[in-house]
Amino acid sequence: MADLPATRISLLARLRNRDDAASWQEFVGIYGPVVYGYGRKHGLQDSDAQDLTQVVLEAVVAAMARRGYDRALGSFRGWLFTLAHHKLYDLRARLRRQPPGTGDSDVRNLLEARPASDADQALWEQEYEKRLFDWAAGRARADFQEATWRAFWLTAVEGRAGDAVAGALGMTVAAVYMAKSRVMARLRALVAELEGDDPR
Amino acid sequence: MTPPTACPDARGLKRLIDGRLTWPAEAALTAHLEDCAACQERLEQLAASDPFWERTARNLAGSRTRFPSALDRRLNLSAAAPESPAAAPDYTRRRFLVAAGVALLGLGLGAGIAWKWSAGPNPDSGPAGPTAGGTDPGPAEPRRTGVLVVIAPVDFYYPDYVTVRSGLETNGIRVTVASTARPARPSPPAPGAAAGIITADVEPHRHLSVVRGNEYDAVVFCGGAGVTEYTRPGPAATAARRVIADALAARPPVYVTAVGTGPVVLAHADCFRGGVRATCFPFGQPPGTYKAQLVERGADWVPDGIVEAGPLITAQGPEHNMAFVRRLLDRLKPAR
Repeated sequence: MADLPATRISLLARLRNRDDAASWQEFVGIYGPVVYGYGRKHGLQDSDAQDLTQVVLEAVVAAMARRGYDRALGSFRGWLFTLAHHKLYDLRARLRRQPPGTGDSDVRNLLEARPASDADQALWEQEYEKRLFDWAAGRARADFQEATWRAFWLTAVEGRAGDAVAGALGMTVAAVYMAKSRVMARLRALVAELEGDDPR
Repeated sequence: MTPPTACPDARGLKRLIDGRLTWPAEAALTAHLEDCAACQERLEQLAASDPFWERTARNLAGSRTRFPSALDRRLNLSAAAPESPAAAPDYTRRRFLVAAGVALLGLGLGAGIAWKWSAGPNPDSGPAGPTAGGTDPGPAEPRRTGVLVVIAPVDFYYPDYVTVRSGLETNGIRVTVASTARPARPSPPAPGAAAGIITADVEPHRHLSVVRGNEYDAVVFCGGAGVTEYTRPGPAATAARRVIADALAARPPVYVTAVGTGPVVLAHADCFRGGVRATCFPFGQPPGTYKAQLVERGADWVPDGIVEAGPLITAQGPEHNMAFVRRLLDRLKPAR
């Protein structure tokens, strides 16, 4: 997993301010769906996945309030995965009416006690990537005219030919290439902002 | 087809992507791009690496940020329509639960930025807010409605603002005011100013960071010492540049105008590169400081009250403001 990016440190550092509503909204908007999707991929019902999301984010809030994010725990992406994995374990235990684990245990100990499989981690990475791009696309879309967005989507995401898209949208071929390149450049910047390192 | 002009260098293409070319330069480059497959490919490579293009396509497939598939037939795309986006979870309830949970923990959520996303007096244009959670309803096609008047958050020149706004509104033009603070505070009247000159705080309709230049018939940057907010590096300057770039990228381009010291914002957005004719408030402290900024950024500074260059209209300020409004009204006639 990538190291904790500088920009994320900035957001995470901002979360220590209990009154920074904008940062919390941003955080919940980005990471909430990742946890939710992870829970759903593990077979949780909608309401259970929502519960999982809530307890994980509440745990993040509590951790931030205590001491902020601890870099020693590794990347935030990985730390959140560990937390989600642990809470999922607890939730499943509760659903099976088995005694839950101790939610306050040290995360590193939990890793050892309840190791995540490669498949778990792959699921998490998949959700994280999807959410990262979904978030970036939502932000980027607001920055462009709708025709620009459509031209980008049809060519870059759906792989249609530039001249065909130009014909369908009533644009010049040059305008289509400008559209897809400008949107892609914006997406790349947004993804880099969240990842904090050069996009792959 | 062989393009009629030589291929531009990478810097030119990069500036095209960034929307930082002057209007004439962009027109020339796009004419070349229309027929040059090599430059089309170079443009894509400059925008992102191949792996990133692949990663984007892979992760956005099925995303709700796609435009509504109902448009496919209208666009004659149904024959090769992609698979329907996968059913996505409804995050609305989840977000409520999370927000409630956070609030229970004593955090002060909910304060602050709501006004950023308000539609102001122009509900047709709609808020341009983020679509977190995958619940994007798909915005309507931007429709140009009225004039966007941009003022500095502090030290904007009130006579510029009031003349432009009242001149436009009394002629039936809808005005949306944008800034980066609410309220925006004007400069106090200069010592010795004529009695009766009054100023007042202004409540902007929209935050500059969420407006799009292509949603209006024209954009007007008002003057005042506070325009530095939109020229020194920072989010406000980035927002101003984006508004200008969006306006000039529209087809036909939106009029991008400025009065008094406002043209400095256009200069810092590289609107005048390559000797584009422009003017601005000729005085200032030190004398000529605004003119110097225009010249440093490539403008052909003209000592006229009003100067037009394509979609760019600049005016020197106070005594020319009424004439500027009349000129803008004249240019907007076809759009009204």
